[in-house]
Amino acid sequence: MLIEVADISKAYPQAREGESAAVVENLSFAIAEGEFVCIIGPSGCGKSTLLNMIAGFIPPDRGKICFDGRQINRPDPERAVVFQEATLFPWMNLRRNIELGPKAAGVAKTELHRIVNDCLALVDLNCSQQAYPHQLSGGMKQRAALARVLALQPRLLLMDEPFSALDADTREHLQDQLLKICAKRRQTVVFVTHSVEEAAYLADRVIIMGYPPNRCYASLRIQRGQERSRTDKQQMFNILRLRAALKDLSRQLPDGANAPQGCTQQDV
Amino acid sequence: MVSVALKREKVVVALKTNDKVWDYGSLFYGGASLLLIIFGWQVVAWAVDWWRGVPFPTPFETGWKLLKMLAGEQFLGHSIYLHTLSSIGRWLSGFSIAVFSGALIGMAAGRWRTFERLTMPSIQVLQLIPGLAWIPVAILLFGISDGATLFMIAVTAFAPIAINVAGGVKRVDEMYIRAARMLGLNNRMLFRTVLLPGALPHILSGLRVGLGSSWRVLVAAEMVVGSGTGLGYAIIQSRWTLDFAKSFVCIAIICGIGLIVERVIFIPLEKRTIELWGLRREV
Repeated sequence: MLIEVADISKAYPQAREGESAAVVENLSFAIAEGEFVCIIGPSGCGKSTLLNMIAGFIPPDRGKICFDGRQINRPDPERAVVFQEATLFPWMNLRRNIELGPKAAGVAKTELHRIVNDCLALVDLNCSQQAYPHQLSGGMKQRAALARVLALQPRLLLMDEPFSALDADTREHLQDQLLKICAKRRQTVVFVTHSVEEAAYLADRVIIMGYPPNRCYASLRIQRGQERSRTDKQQMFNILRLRAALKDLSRQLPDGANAPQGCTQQDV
Repeated sequence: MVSVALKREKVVVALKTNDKVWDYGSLFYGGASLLLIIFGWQVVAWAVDWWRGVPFPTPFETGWKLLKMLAGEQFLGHSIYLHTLSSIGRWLSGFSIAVFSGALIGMAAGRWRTFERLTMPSIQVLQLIPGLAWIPVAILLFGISDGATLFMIAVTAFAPIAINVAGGVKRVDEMYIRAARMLGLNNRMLFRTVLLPGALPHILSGLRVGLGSSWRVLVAAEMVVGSGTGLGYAIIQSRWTLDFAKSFVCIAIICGIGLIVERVIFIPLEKRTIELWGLRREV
């Protein structure tokens, strides 16, 4: 297993002293190499927090997350992140943005040139490599952000609602482009989204996070035919299954009732 | 390669940056506001002449004197060039000390909370002290010498620079820092490629404020601890020589230098950085 999340919890301190609000509680799962995993759930359920913990930006309060057997304690280019809003550095043109990661890793100049050209070609941005980020459209920015992390040749790609701010056409185009790149590289991906359709289309497996206070988690494997489609019966069936699971997990429990134990990591 | 199969988007990227320092609009309004000042000055000169009966140098007399001085007429035993150059020299050395130390301390304070809490309160207090109040301190530390002038310039410019740099570094979006960490940047690269350019709008505004206040204190310091040369020294000495037109020339040169620094250094620098990057300018 590439990632093992073992019984982690995370709470954020509240305005009133001594109080804290749990965001993730007793969550465990594992992700295999080459798997495309989507994490869905309503807003505030801790999806982004989970992703930030896997990225190493914030530590869990309890439990541990291991990457390839080693505990994660800080960010690393092996676990590259595409953020919700493209965080390309505005003061560098596209090419320099993409070069930065390999340069920090000490890649030689000729090799650097080749890697950057390959990544620009992968996301189809050769023509705009001299442009500055503010001169690009939203879709182009996200493609550039993807190229920047692909240049790191990461073992794990973490994506935090990367397409949520884009229009439907661009989003679908980028989803297909992402799938193509992942297939080519056998890339392991953890993809956070709030869109059930997106999860059903992209993922091999979906981890569903329930809404507080009854924090339950479920893991659901997506079944699909030979071809991936947005409109076929299988896709519709997957969407319905996801919706049902999401609704089930987000059901409000009566006051005083505890979240049912043992519902973490169940297969729906 | 996937790109061959994919339809390639033609992207036309227009660099909207305008490299010209002067455009006709700003030239027109600049000229008009200059004319307005000259007109006002002329009116005051007439009024003073009529009302108090003392000769107040008019814009025309001052301009004529400027030409004569540029042609080599001496003032207090030195050419106007020497006065100007010695003022600029003092200012450059003092300001460089302020930029270097202010940037260093500001960067550290912006990045490390403990350092900020340790240093920033005293720097804030420093900012409240008027430049001229440093005169006794400067004289006690350095005697009546150039050292005292440099000290006053450096200490006046230091606070606004340090405060703005610290604020700029602190306001660099946390997401950029996370992205840099994720890309594997070490501390040195983080400073050079993320924090420094990210803080640039604030840094430039700090340099502007520092420049203005240090230029003002330079002239004042030269008046008090001046050592025979410099524009400030020349202005104050006209009390005794009663050659007011020449001191007006010095004032005009001071304004001119400020304008040139703004036009030749700050505006082109902003166009090449902040505007090109699409960042917001901090005023």
